[in-house]
Amino acid sequence: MKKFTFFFIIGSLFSTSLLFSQNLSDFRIYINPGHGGHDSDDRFISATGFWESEGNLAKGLHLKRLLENMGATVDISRTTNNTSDDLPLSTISALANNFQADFFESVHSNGFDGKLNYTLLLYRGWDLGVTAVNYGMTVTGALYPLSGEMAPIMANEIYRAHRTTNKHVRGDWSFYDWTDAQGNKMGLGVLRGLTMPGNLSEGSFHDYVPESWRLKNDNYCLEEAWAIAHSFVLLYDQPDFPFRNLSGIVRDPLETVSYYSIAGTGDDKKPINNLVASLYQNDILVDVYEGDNENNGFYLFDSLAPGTYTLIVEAEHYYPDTQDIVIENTFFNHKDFHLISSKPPTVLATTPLPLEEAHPAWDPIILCFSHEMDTASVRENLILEPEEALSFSWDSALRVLTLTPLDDTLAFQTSYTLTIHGNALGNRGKNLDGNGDGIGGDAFTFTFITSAEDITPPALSSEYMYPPISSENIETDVVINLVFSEILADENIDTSHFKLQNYTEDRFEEVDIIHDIIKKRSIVSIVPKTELSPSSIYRTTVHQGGLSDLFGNTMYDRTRAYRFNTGSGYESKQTLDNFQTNFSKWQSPNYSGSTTGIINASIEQSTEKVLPLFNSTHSMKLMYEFDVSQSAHLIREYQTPQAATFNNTYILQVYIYGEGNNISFRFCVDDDIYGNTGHEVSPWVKVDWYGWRLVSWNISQDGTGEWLGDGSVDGTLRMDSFQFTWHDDANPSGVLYLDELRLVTKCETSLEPPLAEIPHTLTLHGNYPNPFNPVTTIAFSIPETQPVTLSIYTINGTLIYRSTTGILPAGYHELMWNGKNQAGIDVSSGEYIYRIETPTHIASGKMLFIK
Amino acid sequence: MKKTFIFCILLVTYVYGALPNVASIDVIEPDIQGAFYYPKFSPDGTRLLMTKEQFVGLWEFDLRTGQTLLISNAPGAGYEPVYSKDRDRIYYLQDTFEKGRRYRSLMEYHRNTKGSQVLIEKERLLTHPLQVTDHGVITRTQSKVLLVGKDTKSENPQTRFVHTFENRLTLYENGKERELYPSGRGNYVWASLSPTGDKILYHKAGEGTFICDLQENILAEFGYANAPVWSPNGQWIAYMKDYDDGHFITESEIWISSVDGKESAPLTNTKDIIEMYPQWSPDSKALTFHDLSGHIYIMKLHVTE
Repeated sequence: MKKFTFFFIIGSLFSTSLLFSQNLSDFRIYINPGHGGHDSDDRFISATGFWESEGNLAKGLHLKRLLENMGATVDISRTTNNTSDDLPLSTISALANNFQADFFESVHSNGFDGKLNYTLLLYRGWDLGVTAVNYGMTVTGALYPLSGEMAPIMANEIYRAHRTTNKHVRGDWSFYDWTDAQGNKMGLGVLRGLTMPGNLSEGSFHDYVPESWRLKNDNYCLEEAWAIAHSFVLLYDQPDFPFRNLSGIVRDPLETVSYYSIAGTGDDKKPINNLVASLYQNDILVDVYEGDNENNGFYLFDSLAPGTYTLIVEAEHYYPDTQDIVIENTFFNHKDFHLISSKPPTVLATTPLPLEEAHPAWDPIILCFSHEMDTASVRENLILEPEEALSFSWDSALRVLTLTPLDDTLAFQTSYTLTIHGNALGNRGKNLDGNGDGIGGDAFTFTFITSAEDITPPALSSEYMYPPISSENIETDVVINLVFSEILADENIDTSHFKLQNYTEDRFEEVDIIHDIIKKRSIVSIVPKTELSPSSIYRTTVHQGGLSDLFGNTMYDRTRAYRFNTGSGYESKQTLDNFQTNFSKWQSPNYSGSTTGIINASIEQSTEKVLPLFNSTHSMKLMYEFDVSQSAHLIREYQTPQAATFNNTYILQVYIYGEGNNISFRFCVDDDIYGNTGHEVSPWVKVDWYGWRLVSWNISQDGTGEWLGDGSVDGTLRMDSFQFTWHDDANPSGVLYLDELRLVTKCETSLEPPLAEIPHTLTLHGNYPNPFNPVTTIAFSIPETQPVTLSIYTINGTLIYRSTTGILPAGYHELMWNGKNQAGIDVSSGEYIYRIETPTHIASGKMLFIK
Repeated sequence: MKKTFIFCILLVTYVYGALPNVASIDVIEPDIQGAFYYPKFSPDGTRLLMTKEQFVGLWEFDLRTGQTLLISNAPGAGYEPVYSKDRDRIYYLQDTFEKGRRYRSLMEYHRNTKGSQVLIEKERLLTHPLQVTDHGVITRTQSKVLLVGKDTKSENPQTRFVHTFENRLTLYENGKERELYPSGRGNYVWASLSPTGDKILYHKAGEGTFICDLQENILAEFGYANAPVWSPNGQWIAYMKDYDDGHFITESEIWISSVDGKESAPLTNTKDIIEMYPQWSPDSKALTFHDLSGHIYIMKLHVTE
């Protein structure tokens, strides 16, 4: 480290209050830090704890000071951030008009889907150069021309200060889609009541997590204030500042952040907290900047004289870095730093986990290191016991090592110990810190046990089957999902093995078969090509012969059938959103102040998983990670502007593609939207399924959950949001997809259960499943209203079970037997005879019980 | 011409002590195209002043003939114009922008000449007309309170009124100004003297609307009530309850309250119409207001005598 003489010099660091040469003394500027008060129209980013109202206020107060230092007369719509500071737009306009400002500046940050970070400047009117009519007025570009002059200047200044990805200048009439009933473009409310030119600046995107962290840094907000102040200097043709700003971001190049980052920005690397940046000129200390702990790595030196400087950046557990910087004519100067961790390398993660007891023997072993490793020394010092021949493969950063058994698999059901001795080197020749105590030279070791050889054929998991066995009132727009215990080989997953029978009409439906893999399970979806018949009996049929896992274990060759009944048909269907167009109306969950208890949540329009009905081409993908350390959890995924209105006579529906993560879902509607009485929600539904399933809220019959409303859904309704929450039995992170949000009404429901044709005599329809373990269902139809007796006999004719029903109506019925004898004791495996007996008829059949 | 407007606006009926009922709501149809805003009755109630987007231009609509008269195309002309007491003259502002600075002129339109003349030219700070007198209107520059008319220009007129110049609540009385803080320090807007001249209706930003006496004692509170205006008979105030999401105005209704603040009721309750900025007719039996789409409404009230 270079030695310096620590004397401050004044000449290089201007006193901003004394040395402003700009004269804005005849200008009056009104500043509106947007939003305010941490309330419902504020924007909260739960991943970072950022409130837009706070960032806007910090920028606004800095801007006020800078402009006043230049002599301007400035007023600001708020100086604190309480609920009472959240002024209506009409009041803000009135205050600016009373103040008789020459210019109005509304300071904001933007939000969309968490993946954008450009600068946007808006003014009232059409895009520059566009002539069109709005509200009966023919307007070219900006309604106030000075707004149109200022917008590109300010956009450029903020873009240069924050190094956002792009800059856009738009008239609010062109930019926003929101129109009134006459087709007039409504535009921004805060600009329409002004008697002076005004802009609304969206400096950067607060839902882009790296930017959100930066916006929590007060000096980052100061830099944006400098950009806006500089814009007034340029707009009013004042002499430029004699001083310059220098800023940058300090990151750890070896640590990648867990949140989304835009390629090419450097935001994928972890910013360093609590940095110390020391600025020297001619070996004399000019200024010191101490960074915060808000994960932004940002530093700023403002008001520097042009010249050559040396900047040293340090942080605990990092090697310091020194760079020479020449500051010349540009006002905003940037220098980023990468600091290398001075800690010895460690092993961050392994696959399998230490002490894992059933690591698939055919899967590779993966080790993730904290730093770039010396591959040769790792290879020399890595030992697997019992010894196996392994191939070594490194990622490009030399931090992830993949070890693959050369003999296809490790030994089955064997305890292995993997050791890397402390002589393995990484991070500039430092010895491995195996035990993570910060001191290198000790070994890393862990043990695991491999799985048994897979000799078990895949099994159908009845608990995840949809529709469930013998279920009633299933929707006629249904996707049938069969979930297997492991991954199936693709062969034979076709319509000859998976069928859907309309039992009532005795025909097979035309279907498509889709094979998905979720969490090492196969999900086979049977998708009817047309809507199912209402009030009908259906049977899902699986011909297991030929179905096998990836290791050739074939399922027992038999046919299994599962019944379900459809409910009433649809009287009307109205799609509210199929997520194919106008997706931008769905806001980032982080945008909602109601979203809480999450680490991250975002949405995107997706083609990865799309509902295989209605020719859908897109869906909404929700990616979430709940913070399990928090006591409350809610993701509110909402839309604005909001959609069509309806009332409580409808059923609200959406298809959800689940991955068995068990998070809970509910609908939320605005109730009595013109009376402002609040939100009502449906009861929670646990998304514990795999594949697509239709979720319904029969608004007038299903009741409500508890949230902001009064529990009575009785006004004019409007879709507000999808909401999700986490419980202890749910995975804290994952994805799900939504498609075909719609309103339906149902035809009158028949009071009678769906009936097959009433037979002339007692008819047996067999038992399913067969073979079974331990429960089977025996289906039959009776010709008239009468009682039925079910008897079970061994193959030798010994009666082991008998049960008589009450009087049953004529038609189709089912009786279940649970594999127990009359005394309630489990019977043994084997062939059994069931007999259905009515006062007038007897019929019997065979079935096989396999334990 | 006007047209009875019955299909969108729900007439609000209620049983509140002395508050007027809504008798009818009409939407006017000017004979020129476009959206109009901020309507204001003439002293005899036969005409309306109105403006366009962002107070650009000033028009007069004759409720009897349905004809629309252009007064001015100037920026700012629609910001708080007033009629003379004899309604032959209209006083309004005219804004010009030079090198980023806004300059304001006070203009007088005369019905006889059908032309405007400049009363005060290009002041950097000039309020809208604050009070109408028999001799002209009162306005305020950076440092002076002026009475101006065609043949008049004098300082420190002998009258009483309130204003919120630079968002400070100020009582002007016979040449002297006194800042008032009935709700403490902060920003005040939408202030006006009662028709009897002994009370002040005002709005404190972030706190709501109040009535106080001239000694700053608060007499009535109205809560969330924006752009409040006295009825000329002094019995009620009308105001709007407007809501937004921080970017867009999402809903607004017109309300009425008794001056003691004890009774209040909505006068509109519409699903798709955002009604704003009510103004009273001179006889206190009607209100005019605009919606966000630029329609102008006349609401007649049943008033219990």
